[in-house]
Amino acid sequence: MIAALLLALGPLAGPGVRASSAQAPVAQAAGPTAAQLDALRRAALRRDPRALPRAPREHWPELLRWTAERERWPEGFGAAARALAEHDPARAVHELCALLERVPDFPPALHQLGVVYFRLQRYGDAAVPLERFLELAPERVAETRALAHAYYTLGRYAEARDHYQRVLAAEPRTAEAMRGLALSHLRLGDNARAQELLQQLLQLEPEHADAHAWLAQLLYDEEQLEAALAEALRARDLAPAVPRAWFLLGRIQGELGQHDAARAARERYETLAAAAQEVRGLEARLVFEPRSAPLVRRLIEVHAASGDIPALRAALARASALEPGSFELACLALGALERAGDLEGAARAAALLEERFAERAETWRLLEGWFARRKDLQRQLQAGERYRRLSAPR
Amino acid sequence: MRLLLSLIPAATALEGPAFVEIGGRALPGVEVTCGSPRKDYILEVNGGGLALADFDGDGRCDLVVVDGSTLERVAKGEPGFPPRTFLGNGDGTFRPAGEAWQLAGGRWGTGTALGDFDGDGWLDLAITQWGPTRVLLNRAGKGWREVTATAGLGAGSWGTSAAVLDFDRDGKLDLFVANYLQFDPERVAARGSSGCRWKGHDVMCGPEGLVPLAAQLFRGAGDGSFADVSASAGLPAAKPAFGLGVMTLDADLDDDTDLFVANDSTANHLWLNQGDGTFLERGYDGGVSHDANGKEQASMGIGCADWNGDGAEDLFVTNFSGENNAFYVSTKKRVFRERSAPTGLAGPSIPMLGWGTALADLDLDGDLDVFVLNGHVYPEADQPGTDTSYAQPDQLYRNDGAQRFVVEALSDGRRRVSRAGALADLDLDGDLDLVALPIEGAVRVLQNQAPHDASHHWLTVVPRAARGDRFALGARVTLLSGGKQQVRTIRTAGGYQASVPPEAHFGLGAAQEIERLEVRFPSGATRVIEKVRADQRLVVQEAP
Repeated sequence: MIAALLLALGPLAGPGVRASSAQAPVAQAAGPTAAQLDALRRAALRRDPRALPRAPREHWPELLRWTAERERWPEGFGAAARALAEHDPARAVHELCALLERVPDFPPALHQLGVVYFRLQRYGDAAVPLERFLELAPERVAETRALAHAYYTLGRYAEARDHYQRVLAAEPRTAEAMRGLALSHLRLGDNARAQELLQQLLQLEPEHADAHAWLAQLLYDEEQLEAALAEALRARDLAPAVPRAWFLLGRIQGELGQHDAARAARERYETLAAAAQEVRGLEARLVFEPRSAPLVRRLIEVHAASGDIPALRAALARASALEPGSFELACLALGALERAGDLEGAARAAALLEERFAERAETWRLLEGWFARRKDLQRQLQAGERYRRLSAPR
Repeated sequence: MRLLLSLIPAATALEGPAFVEIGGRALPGVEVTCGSPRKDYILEVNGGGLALADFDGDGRCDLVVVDGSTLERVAKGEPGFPPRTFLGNGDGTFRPAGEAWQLAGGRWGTGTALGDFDGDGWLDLAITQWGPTRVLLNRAGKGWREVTATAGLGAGSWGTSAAVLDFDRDGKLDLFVANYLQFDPERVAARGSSGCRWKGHDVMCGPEGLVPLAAQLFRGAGDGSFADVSASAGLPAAKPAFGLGVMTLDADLDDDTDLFVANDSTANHLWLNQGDGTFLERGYDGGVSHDANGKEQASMGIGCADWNGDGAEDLFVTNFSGENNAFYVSTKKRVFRERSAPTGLAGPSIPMLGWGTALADLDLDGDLDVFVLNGHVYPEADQPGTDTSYAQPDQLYRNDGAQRFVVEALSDGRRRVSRAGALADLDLDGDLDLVALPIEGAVRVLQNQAPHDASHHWLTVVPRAARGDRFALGARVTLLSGGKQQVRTIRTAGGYQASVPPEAHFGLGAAQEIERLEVRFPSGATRVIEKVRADQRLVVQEAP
């Protein structure tokens, strides 16, 4: 996703690095005002998907044929995709509901609506279109993992377990369904089956950090502290910016009498948990203010502080779509990437600054510091010289 | 959401509901208020409190209902609605107490705490408020005497739940007050005015974004006055939190009283009594601060009892919608493990927002059940996409005897917006009845319909100490029946803004006789009684 930032700001992406359409900046066409968009989003989120019309059963075969002809998909689907690309899920709900009122039960729209509701953490609403989708196209059960996730999140663990099993029957090597099935069994009290499934998942994806964390949790609950510790350490190493592994580590190490390590893990957990809480708050606000550059910049700062490099790159890509060509954003990117420990990304951001903003004294002040920290004396001196020259009074 | 809520089965016609509402005749016309039904401010959403105990010494359970106020009254400088005392008739119904029990309105009442503060052998009352905590001394069963002005509890801020304990074992009762947050109606934004949103809907602001308050510990002088010892006891070591529920327990089994505090949207606290006048906060190490995923929950009410007969008490905590209620089971290492899901307590609680609760043997079959009073804080919960609703059914989690709970409707299955609740045997038939407060409206009295037959026996133990606190708060009652051990602690803390009588209730199932009953008094003295007949209320006096 750093690529999207670089493409947005300048032509410095390396070979093979391309921005996806979902990440590319979207031009603001003259259209509704911010207030109108806000009202539209609020109205969309007041909608109840249960009230969407149904297609008569005799029309279902035709709808399914239509689904196969993507070029003929009804108007509105593209608008929803654009809204999603612009991180505007509420507007996507508006577009998809409008489409489903014109073309009831159009399967791709049902599916997309379910996924969008899931992303909005409206799990009961997510289940409605996904259940309808499955009713129309039961052979496409493999595409409805989100339905099982929704049941799980709603506490309907038996339904979640059954649906994960259906998904896995159709697509046996679906890691997330396997994880979900394991957790459903865990929630239903079948620890042995949960452990077995987590082990299977780790055979499929040995670096699945969350599977290691859940295995650690399960072993910890069963008082197998040494084994739990090994799994928690593995989870932490694979995903060091995720609070949960640190939380478990602190608990396990504490009970093993490793008090210094436990204290350090707890401190790290508390830092990351506070960051995660702020991120949740920012993301909730961004549902209504998807084009708020200050909110996205704050997201960048928080991810940088917690060292969550994938999330930081995603936030930078989002910011670059909002503020293409922004010098301030480029400066922020260099500092944030370096602070997060993403030296490869920081190096690209430094190169971008040098290429695109060479006329600005501030660029060279930042680069002087960057090269100094990289111990590149020659370039440090060059940057310092440029800075002094550009900042000297004329 | 309607589908989700409908998954909670109403009690079968064959068995009938576990509890039957008799509030219409038990407490006619008694209502509570907590601000405006619109709930524009957080002050308006937590509800009032109640205390159940025998205040007049006639052997029947009485009731104090703590009422709130409205922001309009606050703006006009008018007092809140006064707390009201009702004397029990011993059949589940109440009558208004006479003039001597009447109290003036305070600022905005919230909760209660119960204990013999002045050592005269009568149960006194503390009432928490948005404002100073009030102290009411019991005039030998003849009425209340308010001593707030000289009680030494300070100006107060926003006390929610409080608990009475003898933390320093000096025989004089102390008071712990959980505080919520700094609330100034002039400065806190109203719903719809500042972008406070939940699931896309404008809602009242808080608690996130508002300033949490530290809990306070007051050392009792034994005469109805107290001194703030929060600092010397070590309470500032924990970050202030949005405190809502309090429970007394001996979490580490070292024979002194510890405290568990359920915090809203912040980590829960487990205060371990060090026996030297100080406490250490050990919620994280103890495994009760967060859920198993390491997420802080929005916790409200607390139930506490020894669920699995291992001699250590376990904790049940009610939480916000979207979070499961948490069941923390004590282990041999005196830390807790969350066992909500495998015991069946997690899934059915996720759409609910729980408040008043308790772990108790509600059906007298010899194992512990759980009741939960539910109701959301946001009227906007009825909007689409919330996965919950404003009014919610109250729940009974019935223990199936095989370490799992099966959920059913507590009474008629109707959805309500409930808050605090407390259990006591109101009709003297040996089972525990329930008084439940709504956020606003009629106070409910729920009569337990447990069968009283050969398979459903009971025992209530009322310890009376010879020294110090006569009501023996902190005493430990252990019962052996049919080879099975049950343990209770004598407490008055009711978990969420509520107080219960200082006695231990046991369901015994088919056992008509208890093999062995042991009462360990706070003084350390123990009294053992062999072969105790079931189905009685047994006063156990400490040897002089």
